[in-house]
Order: sequence, then structure tokens, then C-alpha cells
Amino acid sequence: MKEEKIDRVIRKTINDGYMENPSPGFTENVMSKLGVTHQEAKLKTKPIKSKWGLISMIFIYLILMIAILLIPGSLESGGYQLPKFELPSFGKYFALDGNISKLLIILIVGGWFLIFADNYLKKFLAR
Amino acid sequence: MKAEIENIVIEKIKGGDYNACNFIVDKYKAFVFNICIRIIKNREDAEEVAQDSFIKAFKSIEGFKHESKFSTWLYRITFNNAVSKTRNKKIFKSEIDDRVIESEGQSHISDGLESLNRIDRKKVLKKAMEKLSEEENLLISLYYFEENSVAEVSDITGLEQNYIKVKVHRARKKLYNGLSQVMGIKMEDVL
Repeated sequence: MKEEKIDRVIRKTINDGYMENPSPGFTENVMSKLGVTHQEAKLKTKPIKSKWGLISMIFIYLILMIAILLIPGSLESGGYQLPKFELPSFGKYFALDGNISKLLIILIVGGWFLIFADNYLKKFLAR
Repeated sequence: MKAEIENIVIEKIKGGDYNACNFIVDKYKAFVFNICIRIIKNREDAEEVAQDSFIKAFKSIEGFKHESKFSTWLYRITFNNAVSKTRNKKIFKSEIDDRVIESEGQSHISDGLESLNRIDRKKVLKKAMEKLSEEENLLISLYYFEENSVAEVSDITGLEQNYIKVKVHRARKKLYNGLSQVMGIKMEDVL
């Protein structure tokens, strides 16, 4: 138990910068040996600021969801012939008119959005 | 998530996109360089060998089959590269010293280390590590890097697990004693 505690502290210290760092041009040298200029690599791999990307996506998502919830009347009356499911006690929390058509759209759009956001982040963080 | 990104990058490199190497080099350069410098003992040469190790790894990345962690695979290439550069393969393996080493005042060591600030803790650890032999220093570093297990250290160095277990165990005891000495913990206070 005591050994584990010391190990934890040593491990943390080693991984927290105890190690010596190579010279600042290390990555550039490796990249040039590979035949890729570092500048070129950086330009191609510059990650999109993922935090702002994510915030923008959440913002768009919320706007979209609010817009769907605020569509006047039921969706099936406006040309979208979706089946009407009456679930008064359940639906009132999700849809203003008491049917779950909107809820279905929210789930579909939300699911698509989450898949898109996940791919977006993976793709751009890895670039 | 990080592992997923790493896998995507590795697949890109396998596909010939060397721009993606940037990510791997930035992530592992400190570890790779430290393995080299512990074996080669010369900063310039260690840097050269570390760079060559990355190149070797990227050129033979098709051989990485995800059977171990990518870091383990990369460190193994680095270790072999560094050892072959020293032209002194006798760096490993030494006799196991059977003398029993008692480590003392362990709770004082962990409490003492935790009470130090980050910079002092590094200095104390560096001094204690200097008291270890080259081999012990390297094995203990590999053991503590990224929570490498004994099996992974064995995979990197090609040494038997039992040998590593004994060596790491003894090196840890020595390290504890070194730490208590460096921190000035008096054994009579502990006992």
C-alpha cells in the first residue's frame, strides 16, 4: 500500500515533465527526414479549434430543436404526414401539441447530429 | 477518444500520408528521446538516434498489427536502435545481486515527496535516479513511463519477465532508499 503510494508519486513526477526534452527543432527534423516540411504538415494538420467547433455545433443543435418545438400546430397538419401518437402524459413534456411526431424528429435529427459531431471531432482532431 | 485518434492517425500513415506523422512525433518524442539518452548518454547522439527511430517506425508501420500498444511497439524499435548504436550489447544483462535491500521509511518518503513542489520533486527524483545503475535507471524509467507493465517492459527490451521483475523490484527499493537519503529523512526518526 505504501509502495503503491510512492509509486504513484514517482510515476506522476516522471510523467509530469521529469524527463529531458529533445531540442525544439526535433519534430521538424523528423518531418524533413520523411520528406515533409514541417510547415506543410502544420498547414495540413492544423486542428480546427475543437472547443469552438463543438460550442457552435451545440448552439446550432439547440436552435434547431427549439425551432422544431415551436412549429405551430402539429406537424401532420402542415404537409408532413407523420403518424399521430397520442400520449398525453408523456407527450406533453416533449411536444407542445401532445403528439410525439416532433419527438421523433428530435430523436432522428439529434441522433444524426451526434454521429456527425463525433465524426467531425475525430476527423479534425486527427488531421 | 485519444486511442481512437491515434488509430486513425496510424491508419493514415499506413496509407502513405506522412503529414500525419507530426501527431505521433509530438506525442512520443519525449519518451523516445529519454529511452535513447539513458542508453547512449550523449544528448546529440541520442537525438539523432531518436529521430532515426521514428523514421524506422514510420517506414515499417505496416508491421504494426495492433497486437500491443503503439507506444510499446515504438519503444521496442527505439530500444533496439539505441542499443545497436552503442555497439555495446553488454549493457544488458547483468548479474542479479541476491543481497536483500531493506527499504526504509516508505510512508515518510511518499509524504515527503508529496509535500514538495513540482520542481523540487523533480530535482529529488533526479538525484535519487542518479544513484541507480544504468540498467536499473532504464528499466525503472520504462516501468514508470505511461504505466508500462512488466510484460510491456519485457516486450520492449526483449528481456525475460522474471529478470525484469527482480531488477525492477530491487531498483525500486534502491530508489526508495535514495529518495529518503536525498530528502534527508533520518532513519532514526523513522524507526
